[in-house]
Amino acid sequence: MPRFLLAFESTHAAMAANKALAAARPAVIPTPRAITASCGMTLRFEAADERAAAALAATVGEARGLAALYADETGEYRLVEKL
Amino acid sequence: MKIIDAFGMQCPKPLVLAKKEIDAGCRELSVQVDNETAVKNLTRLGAKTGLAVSVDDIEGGWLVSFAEGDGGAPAPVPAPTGAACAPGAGCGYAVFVGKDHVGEGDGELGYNLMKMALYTLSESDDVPASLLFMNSGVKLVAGGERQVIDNVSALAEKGTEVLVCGTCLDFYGCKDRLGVGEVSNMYDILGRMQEAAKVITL
Repeated sequence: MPRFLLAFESTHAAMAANKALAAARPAVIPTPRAITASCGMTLRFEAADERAAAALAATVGEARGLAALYADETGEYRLVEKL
Repeated sequence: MKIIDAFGMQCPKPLVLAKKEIDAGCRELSVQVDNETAVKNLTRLGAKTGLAVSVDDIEGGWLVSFAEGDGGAPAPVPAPTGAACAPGAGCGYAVFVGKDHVGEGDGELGYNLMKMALYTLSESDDVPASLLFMNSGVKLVAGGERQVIDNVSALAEKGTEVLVCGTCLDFYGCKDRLGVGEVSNMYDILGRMQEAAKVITL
């Protein structure tokens, strides 16, 4: 299953999203150096495709501070959308 | 041949009794134990002291016997490839996880930082010689947190020895849920710290 990263503007937002996305069992990882985000905490999760990933990201809309969704393509991070 | 009856004794009691005898110069010794953890710990003690160890099934448990002979020299410290090893200078590095969070302050933040730290270690090419869990740190590997279990398993596959304090697992009542690592004791955990060139405490 494809992997995606969710980057954040703030640590509080990352931690709130981690709880909100608990069902997707995200991994909490340090923000990869290749990604520019003000928060050092990033969530990595699996989703069927970009649409499913974006839909999942949208469910944490209430947690302010979402920065961007990236596709994790074995070490390369491709921006899917800014949030 | 001295025989110690350690039936009914939990870790680390059988080990303490056996070590006391060996340290006092005893070279032929048998210990009767009734739990597998004690068998494992005693076997490791044999390897460390250079004594040959044999384990026999007896009624109600095992008889672990130490004898001088083909045990050879004390077992060398297993170290991952590339670890800096120099005589007398220690070998590789150990990471001590004495709690389930990094630093002091907010507990939830500290817990997430710990997950990130273990992930980062697991992604590194320079993995620790040993990863040592004690006190609430044991809950990380015995609490069903998939990310932590996966990351620590990845480290174990890369050659890191993962030791988990049995007394602590027992205290927190989570021995049955241990997902990765070997149930260990104060002797071995402190021993790995002493053998390491440096110890990182998270």
